[in-house]
Amino acid sequence: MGKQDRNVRMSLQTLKVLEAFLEAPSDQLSGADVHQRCGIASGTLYPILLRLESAGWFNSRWESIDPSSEGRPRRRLYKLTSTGLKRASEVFASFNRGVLA
Amino acid sequence: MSQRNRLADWLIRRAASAAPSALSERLQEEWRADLMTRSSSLSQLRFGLGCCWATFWIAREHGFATATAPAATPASGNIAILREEPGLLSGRSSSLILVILLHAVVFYALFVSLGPTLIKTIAPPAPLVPTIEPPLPKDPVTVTATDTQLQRTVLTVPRPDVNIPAIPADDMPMVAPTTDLPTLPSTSSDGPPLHVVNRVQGGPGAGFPSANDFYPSTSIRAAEEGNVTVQVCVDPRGRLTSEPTTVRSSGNSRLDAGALVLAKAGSGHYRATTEDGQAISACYPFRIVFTLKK
Repeated sequence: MGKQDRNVRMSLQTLKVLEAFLEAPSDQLSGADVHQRCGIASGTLYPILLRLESAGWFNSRWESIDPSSEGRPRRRLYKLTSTGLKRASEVFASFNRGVLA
Repeated sequence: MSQRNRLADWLIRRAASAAPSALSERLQEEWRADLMTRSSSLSQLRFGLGCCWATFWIAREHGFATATAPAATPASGNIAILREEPGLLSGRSSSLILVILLHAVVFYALFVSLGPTLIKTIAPPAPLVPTIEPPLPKDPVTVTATDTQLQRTVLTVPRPDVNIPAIPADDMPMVAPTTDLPTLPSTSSDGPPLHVVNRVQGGPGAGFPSANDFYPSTSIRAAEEGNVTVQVCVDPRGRLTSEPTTVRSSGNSRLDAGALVLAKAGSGHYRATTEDGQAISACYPFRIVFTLKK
Protein backbone atom coordinates (compact mmCIF):
# COMPACT_ATOMS: atom_id res chain seq x y z
CA MET A 1 0.00 0.00 0.00
CA GLY A 2 1.28 3.38 -0.87
CA LYS A 3 1.22 6.44 1.26
CA GLN A 4 -1.83 7.69 -0.60
CA ASP A 5 -3.90 4.77 0.64
CA ARG A 6 -3.56 5.86 4.21
CA ASN A 7 -4.87 9.31 3.34
CA VAL A 8 -8.34 8.05 2.44
CA ARG A 9 -10.76 9.06 5.12
CA MET A 10 -13.29 6.33 5.82
CA SER A 11 -16.45 8.29 6.36
CA LEU A 12 -19.91 6.79 6.17
CA GLN A 13 -20.40 8.33 2.72
CA THR A 14 -17.10 6.89 1.52
CA LEU A 15 -18.16 3.45 2.67
CA LYS A 16 -21.45 3.85 0.79
CA VAL A 17 -19.59 4.72 -2.41
CA LEU A 18 -17.27 1.76 -2.00
CA GLU A 19 -20.22 -0.50 -1.33
CA ALA A 20 -21.85 0.67 -4.56
CA PHE A 21 -18.75 -0.34 -6.50
CA LEU A 22 -18.28 -3.62 -4.63
CA GLU A 23 -21.73 -4.82 -5.70
CA ALA A 24 -20.25 -5.28 -9.15
CA PRO A 25 -16.52 -4.61 -9.03
CA SER A 26 -16.06 -4.89 -12.75
CA ASP A 27 -18.69 -2.27 -13.56
CA GLN A 28 -17.79 1.20 -14.62
CA LEU A 29 -20.00 3.73 -12.92
CA SER A 30 -20.53 7.41 -13.53
CA GLY A 31 -21.26 9.84 -10.78
CA ALA A 32 -24.91 9.75 -11.70
CA ASP A 33 -24.90 5.94 -11.39
CA VAL A 34 -23.35 6.10 -7.95
CA HIS A 35 -25.90 8.68 -6.92
CA GLN A 36 -28.74 6.38 -8.02
CA ARG A 37 -27.25 3.45 -6.08
CA CYS A 38 -26.38 5.11 -2.78
CA GLY A 39 -28.24 8.42 -2.89
CA ILE A 40 -25.30 10.60 -1.96
CA ALA A 41 -25.65 14.23 -3.03
CA SER A 42 -23.32 15.68 -5.63
CA GLY A 43 -21.63 18.02 -3.15
CA THR A 44 -20.34 15.01 -1.23
CA LEU A 45 -20.10 12.44 -3.99
CA TYR A 46 -17.62 14.04 -6.39
CA PRO A 47 -15.00 14.96 -3.75
CA ILE A 48 -15.11 11.32 -2.61
CA LEU A 49 -14.70 10.01 -6.14
CA LEU A 50 -11.75 12.30 -6.78
CA ARG A 51 -10.21 11.45 -3.42
CA LEU A 52 -10.39 7.71 -4.05
CA GLU A 53 -9.08 8.15 -7.57
CA SER A 54 -6.20 10.25 -6.28
CA ALA A 55 -5.45 7.51 -3.76
CA GLY A 56 -5.28 4.91 -6.50
CA TRP A 57 -8.42 3.04 -5.51
CA PHE A 58 -10.27 4.10 -8.67
CA ASN A 59 -9.31 4.88 -12.18
CA SER A 60 -11.49 6.75 -14.58
CA ARG A 61 -11.96 7.33 -18.29
CA TRP A 62 -14.30 9.18 -20.57
CA GLU A 63 -17.31 7.44 -22.01
CA SER A 64 -16.67 6.30 -25.61
CA ILE A 65 -19.28 8.29 -27.43
CA ASP A 66 -19.38 11.18 -29.85
CA PRO A 67 -20.96 14.05 -27.91
CA SER A 68 -22.13 15.82 -31.05
CA SER A 69 -23.93 12.80 -32.42
CA GLU A 70 -25.32 11.77 -29.04
CA GLY A 71 -26.37 15.31 -28.21
CA ARG A 72 -24.97 15.17 -24.70
CA PRO A 73 -21.59 15.46 -22.96
CA ARG A 74 -19.47 12.43 -22.25
CA ARG A 75 -19.78 10.79 -18.89
CA ARG A 76 -16.83 10.12 -16.69
CA LEU A 77 -16.73 6.44 -15.76
CA TYR A 78 -15.06 5.17 -12.60
CA LYS A 79 -13.85 1.66 -11.94
CA LEU A 80 -12.24 -0.01 -8.97
CA THR A 81 -8.57 -0.79 -9.44
CA SER A 82 -7.10 -4.01 -8.14
CA THR A 83 -5.62 -2.06 -5.27
CA GLY A 84 -8.93 -0.38 -4.61
CA LEU A 85 -10.75 -3.67 -4.68
CA LYS A 86 -8.32 -5.20 -2.21
CA ARG A 87 -8.35 -2.24 0.12
CA ALA A 88 -12.11 -1.83 0.02
CA SER A 89 -12.53 -5.52 0.79
CA GLU A 90 -10.15 -5.20 3.71
CA VAL A 91 -12.04 -2.25 5.05
CA PHE A 92 -15.38 -4.03 4.99
CA ALA A 93 -13.80 -7.22 6.35
CA SER A 94 -12.41 -5.28 9.29
CA PHE A 95 -15.84 -3.81 9.93
CA ASN A 96 -17.39 -7.25 9.85
CA ARG A 97 -14.80 -8.56 12.29
CA GLY A 98 -15.52 -5.66 14.55
CA VAL A 99 -19.23 -6.34 14.46
CA LEU A 100 -18.83 -10.08 15.09
CA ALA A 101 -16.43 -9.56 17.93
CA MET B 1 -33.56 23.78 -21.34
CA SER B 2 -35.81 25.41 -18.79
CA GLN B 3 -34.93 28.47 -16.74
CA ARG B 4 -33.89 26.31 -13.82
CA ASN B 5 -31.86 24.09 -16.13
CA ARG B 6 -30.02 27.12 -17.33
CA LEU B 7 -29.48 28.15 -13.76
CA ALA B 8 -28.12 24.71 -12.87
CA ASP B 9 -25.90 24.78 -15.95
CA TRP B 10 -24.63 28.21 -14.96
CA LEU B 11 -23.89 26.96 -11.45
CA ILE B 12 -21.95 24.03 -12.86
CA ARG B 13 -19.88 26.27 -15.10
CA ARG B 14 -19.16 28.61 -12.22
CA ALA B 15 -18.24 25.72 -9.95
CA ALA B 16 -16.00 24.10 -12.54
CA SER B 17 -14.21 27.35 -13.27
CA ALA B 18 -13.45 27.73 -9.56
CA ALA B 19 -11.93 24.26 -9.37
CA PRO B 20 -8.19 23.68 -9.83
CA SER B 21 -7.29 24.41 -13.44
CA ALA B 22 -6.19 20.83 -14.12
CA LEU B 23 -9.66 19.58 -13.22
CA SER B 24 -11.81 22.44 -14.46
CA GLU B 25 -12.64 21.17 -17.95
CA ARG B 26 -13.05 17.60 -16.81
CA LEU B 27 -15.44 18.47 -14.00
CA GLN B 28 -17.52 20.73 -16.20
CA GLU B 29 -18.07 18.03 -18.83
CA GLU B 30 -18.60 15.31 -16.21
CA TRP B 31 -21.10 17.34 -14.24
CA ARG B 32 -22.99 18.51 -17.29
CA ALA B 33 -23.30 14.90 -18.43
CA ASP B 34 -24.56 13.80 -15.04
CA LEU B 35 -26.93 16.77 -14.93
CA MET B 36 -28.71 15.33 -17.96
CA THR B 37 -29.71 12.28 -15.91
CA ARG B 38 -31.69 14.41 -13.46
CA SER B 39 -35.32 14.54 -14.37
CA SER B 40 -36.87 17.35 -12.36
CA SER B 41 -35.77 20.93 -12.44
CA LEU B 42 -35.50 20.98 -8.67
CA SER B 43 -33.20 17.99 -8.73
CA GLN B 44 -31.09 19.68 -11.38
CA LEU B 45 -30.89 22.82 -9.27
CA ARG B 46 -29.87 20.79 -6.25
CA PHE B 47 -27.25 19.07 -8.36
CA GLY B 48 -25.85 22.42 -9.50
CA LEU B 49 -25.67 23.72 -5.94
CA GLY B 50 -24.04 20.48 -4.86
CA CYS B 51 -21.37 20.96 -7.51
CA CYS B 52 -20.56 24.36 -6.02
CA TRP B 53 -20.16 22.75 -2.64
CA ALA B 54 -18.06 19.97 -4.17
CA THR B 55 -15.75 22.54 -5.74
CA PHE B 56 -15.03 23.98 -2.33
CA TRP B 57 -13.80 20.64 -1.01
CA ILE B 58 -12.03 19.68 -4.22
CA ALA B 59 -10.17 22.96 -4.23
CA ARG B 60 -9.13 22.40 -0.64
CA GLU B 61 -7.95 18.84 -1.21
CA HIS B 62 -6.42 19.31 -4.63
CA GLY B 63 -5.44 22.94 -4.48
CA PHE B 64 -1.77 22.09 -4.07
CA ALA B 65 -1.84 19.28 -6.64
CA THR B 66 0.71 19.55 -9.38
CA ALA B 67 1.42 17.38 -12.36
CA THR B 68 4.49 15.29 -11.71
CA ALA B 69 4.31 12.82 -14.58
CA PRO B 70 5.17 13.78 -18.12
CA ALA B 71 1.89 12.33 -19.38
CA ALA B 72 -0.13 14.61 -17.19
CA THR B 73 -2.15 17.00 -19.27
CA PRO B 74 -5.22 18.93 -18.27
CA ALA B 75 -7.09 17.51 -21.20
CA SER B 76 -6.74 13.99 -19.92
CA GLY B 77 -8.34 15.03 -16.66
CA ASN B 78 -6.90 11.98 -14.96
CA ILE B 79 -6.09 12.98 -11.43
CA ALA B 80 -4.44 9.64 -10.77
CA ILE B 81 -1.29 11.21 -12.12
CA LEU B 82 -1.63 14.19 -9.89
CA ARG B 83 0.25 13.85 -6.70
CA GLU B 84 -0.86 15.87 -3.79
CA GLU B 85 2.02 17.74 -2.30
CA PRO B 86 1.71 18.37 1.35
CA GLY B 87 1.17 22.03 1.87
CA LEU B 88 3.21 23.86 4.43
CA LEU B 89 0.03 24.53 6.34
CA SER B 90 -3.34 22.94 6.21
CA GLY B 91 -6.40 25.10 5.80
CA ARG B 92 -7.26 24.80 9.45
CA SER B 93 -3.76 25.66 10.59
CA SER B 94 -3.50 28.64 8.29
CA SER B 95 -6.86 29.90 9.55
CA LEU B 96 -5.68 29.53 13.12
CA ILE B 97 -2.46 31.38 12.39
CA LEU B 98 -4.40 34.10 10.61
CA VAL B 99 -6.66 34.56 13.64
CA ILE B 100 -3.67 34.67 15.97
CA LEU B 101 -1.95 37.24 13.78
CA LEU B 102 -5.06 39.41 13.71
CA HIS B 103 -5.28 39.28 17.49
CA ALA B 104 -1.61 40.17 17.77
CA VAL B 105 -2.06 43.15 15.49
CA VAL B 106 -5.07 44.38 17.46
CA PHE B 107 -3.33 44.00 20.80
CA TYR B 108 -0.22 45.68 19.49
CA ALA B 109 -2.24 48.61 18.21
CA LEU B 110 -4.04 48.93 21.52
CA PHE B 111 -0.80 48.73 23.45
CA VAL B 112 0.95 51.34 21.32
CA SER B 113 -1.92 53.82 21.20
CA LEU B 114 -3.56 53.40 24.56
CA GLY B 115 -0.95 51.70 26.69
CA PRO B 116 0.82 54.68 28.23
CA THR B 117 -2.45 56.49 28.87
CA LEU B 118 -4.03 53.45 30.50
CA ILE B 119 -1.01 52.79 32.63
CA LYS B 120 -0.98 56.35 33.91
CA THR B 121 -4.70 56.35 34.48
CA ILE B 122 -5.44 53.00 36.08
CA ALA B 123 -2.12 51.86 37.42
CA PRO B 124 -2.03 51.76 41.20
CA PRO B 125 0.16 54.41 42.74
CA ALA B 126 3.67 53.33 43.31
CA PRO B 127 5.01 53.21 46.85
CA LEU B 128 6.22 56.58 47.86
CA VAL B 129 9.49 57.48 49.36
CA PRO B 130 9.31 61.18 49.89
CA THR B 131 12.28 62.53 51.69
CA ILE B 132 13.30 65.78 53.14
CA GLU B 133 16.85 66.53 52.25
CA PRO B 134 19.32 68.40 54.32
CA PRO B 135 19.32 72.14 53.82
CA LEU B 136 21.14 73.71 50.95
CA PRO B 137 24.76 74.42 51.71
CA LYS B 138 24.76 77.65 49.71
CA ASP B 139 22.07 79.31 51.72
CA PRO B 140 23.00 81.60 54.53
CA VAL B 141 20.97 79.62 57.01
CA THR B 142 21.42 75.92 57.05
CA VAL B 143 18.42 73.76 57.89
CA THR B 144 18.75 70.11 58.63
CA ALA B 145 16.12 67.44 58.23
CA THR B 146 16.96 65.19 61.12
CA ASP B 147 18.65 65.48 64.44
CA THR B 148 21.41 63.20 63.34
CA GLN B 149 22.34 65.60 60.58
CA LEU B 150 22.70 68.73 62.67
CA GLN B 151 25.48 71.02 61.70
CA ARG B 152 27.09 73.53 63.93
CA THR B 153 27.83 76.97 62.58
CA VAL B 154 30.45 78.99 64.35
CA LEU B 155 30.25 82.72 63.94
CA THR B 156 33.01 84.96 65.08
CA VAL B 157 31.99 88.38 66.26
CA PRO B 158 34.02 91.08 67.98
CA ARG B 159 33.42 91.87 71.55
CA PRO B 160 31.29 94.93 71.78
CA ASP B 161 33.22 96.53 74.65
CA VAL B 162 36.80 97.52 74.52
CA ASN B 163 38.52 98.14 77.72
CA ILE B 164 41.15 100.75 77.47
CA PRO B 165 43.24 101.01 80.59
CA ALA B 166 43.44 104.39 82.07
CA ILE B 167 46.85 105.88 81.64
CA PRO B 168 47.99 108.69 83.89
CA ALA B 169 48.44 111.85 82.03
CA ASP B 170 52.02 112.03 83.08
CA ASP B 171 52.75 108.67 81.61
CA MET B 172 50.98 109.34 78.34
CA PRO B 173 53.43 109.16 75.51
CA MET B 174 53.95 112.26 73.54
CA VAL B 175 52.80 110.86 70.32
CA ALA B 176 50.37 112.67 68.18
CA PRO B 177 47.30 110.63 67.36
CA THR B 178 47.20 109.50 63.81
CA THR B 179 43.49 109.14 63.64
CA ASP B 180 40.39 109.91 65.55
CA LEU B 181 38.71 106.66 64.70
CA PRO B 182 38.63 103.96 67.31
CA THR B 183 40.85 101.08 66.63
CA LEU B 184 39.01 97.95 65.62
CA PRO B 185 39.92 94.91 67.55
CA SER B 186 42.16 92.56 65.79
CA THR B 187 41.35 88.95 65.09
CA SER B 188 44.92 87.93 65.45
CA SER B 189 46.10 85.96 68.33
CA ASP B 190 47.37 89.09 69.83
CA GLY B 191 43.93 90.69 69.95
CA PRO B 192 41.26 90.37 72.52
CA PRO B 193 39.43 87.01 72.84
CA LEU B 194 36.48 86.47 70.47
CA HIS B 195 32.96 85.59 71.49
CA VAL B 196 31.80 82.42 69.70
CA VAL B 197 28.07 82.00 69.11
CA ASN B 198 26.83 78.51 68.59
CA ARG B 199 23.97 78.75 66.15
CA VAL B 200 21.98 75.63 65.33
CA GLN B 201 19.51 76.14 62.60
CA GLY B 202 16.06 74.71 62.82
CA GLY B 203 14.17 72.38 60.55
CA PRO B 204 11.34 69.90 60.51
CA GLY B 205 11.07 68.46 63.99
CA ALA B 206 9.22 65.75 65.81
CA GLY B 207 5.65 65.30 64.70
CA PHE B 208 6.27 66.95 61.36
CA PRO B 209 3.73 65.61 58.88
CA SER B 210 4.75 62.86 56.52
CA ALA B 211 5.31 64.01 52.99
CA ASN B 212 3.46 60.89 51.79
CA ASP B 213 0.21 62.54 52.74
CA PHE B 214 0.94 65.59 50.65
CA TYR B 215 2.16 63.94 47.44
CA PRO B 216 -0.38 65.19 44.86
CA SER B 217 -2.40 62.24 43.62
CA THR B 218 -2.33 63.51 40.07
CA SER B 219 1.45 63.66 40.23
CA ILE B 220 1.54 60.08 41.50
CA ARG B 221 -0.50 58.83 38.55
CA ALA B 222 1.59 60.83 36.14
CA ALA B 223 4.82 59.67 37.84
CA GLU B 224 5.94 63.24 38.43
CA GLU B 225 8.93 63.75 40.68
CA GLY B 226 10.86 66.81 41.78
CA ASN B 227 12.54 68.85 44.48
CA VAL B 228 11.02 71.99 45.98
CA THR B 229 12.91 74.36 48.22
CA VAL B 230 10.61 76.16 50.65
CA GLN B 231 11.44 79.14 52.86
CA VAL B 232 9.80 79.21 56.30
CA CYS B 233 9.98 81.65 59.15
CA VAL B 234 9.65 79.95 62.53
CA ASP B 235 9.32 81.39 66.03
CA PRO B 236 11.01 79.92 69.10
CA ARG B 237 8.04 77.58 69.62
CA GLY B 238 8.32 76.08 66.17
CA ARG B 239 5.34 77.87 64.70
CA LEU B 240 5.26 79.65 61.40
CA THR B 241 5.32 83.38 61.64
CA SER B 242 4.50 83.93 57.97
CA GLU B 243 3.31 82.06 54.94
CA PRO B 244 5.87 79.66 53.49
CA THR B 245 7.25 80.66 50.12
CA THR B 246 8.85 78.76 47.30
CA VAL B 247 12.52 79.52 46.95
CA ARG B 248 13.27 77.09 44.17
CA SER B 249 10.55 75.53 42.09
CA SER B 250 10.53 71.92 40.98
CA GLY B 251 9.24 72.99 37.61
CA ASN B 252 5.93 71.38 38.35
CA SER B 253 3.15 73.50 39.77
CA ARG B 254 1.41 70.55 41.43
CA LEU B 255 4.53 69.52 43.32
CA ASP B 256 5.23 73.14 44.32
CA ALA B 257 1.72 73.51 45.69
CA GLY B 258 2.00 70.22 47.56
CA ALA B 259 5.26 71.35 49.15
CA LEU B 260 3.72 74.63 50.37
CA VAL B 261 0.76 72.79 51.86
CA LEU B 262 3.14 70.40 53.62
CA ALA B 263 5.24 73.29 54.97
CA LYS B 264 2.15 75.05 56.25
CA ALA B 265 0.74 71.91 57.82
CA GLY B 266 3.97 71.45 59.73
CA SER B 267 3.51 74.67 61.74
CA GLY B 268 4.12 73.94 65.41
CA HIS B 269 6.33 70.98 64.54
CA TYR B 270 9.39 72.88 63.42
CA ARG B 271 12.52 72.86 65.40
CA ALA B 272 13.46 76.44 66.19
CA THR B 273 16.84 77.87 65.40
CA THR B 274 18.99 78.28 68.48
CA GLU B 275 21.88 80.50 69.33
CA ASP B 276 23.92 79.43 72.26
CA GLY B 277 21.07 77.05 73.12
CA GLN B 278 18.49 79.80 73.10
CA ALA B 279 15.59 79.39 70.63
CA ILE B 280 15.12 82.36 68.40
CA SER B 281 12.89 83.37 65.54
CA ALA B 282 14.56 82.75 62.23
CA CYS B 283 13.87 82.06 58.60
CA TYR B 284 15.51 79.28 56.69
CA PRO B 285 14.92 77.22 53.59
CA PHE B 286 14.65 73.47 53.44
CA ARG B 287 14.15 71.08 50.61
CA ILE B 288 11.24 68.72 50.08
CA VAL B 289 11.85 65.87 47.68
CA PHE B 290 8.93 64.17 45.98
CA THR B 291 10.11 60.90 44.53
CA LEU B 292 8.46 57.63 43.71
CA LYS B 293 9.93 54.36 44.80
CA LYS B 294 11.50 52.62 41.82
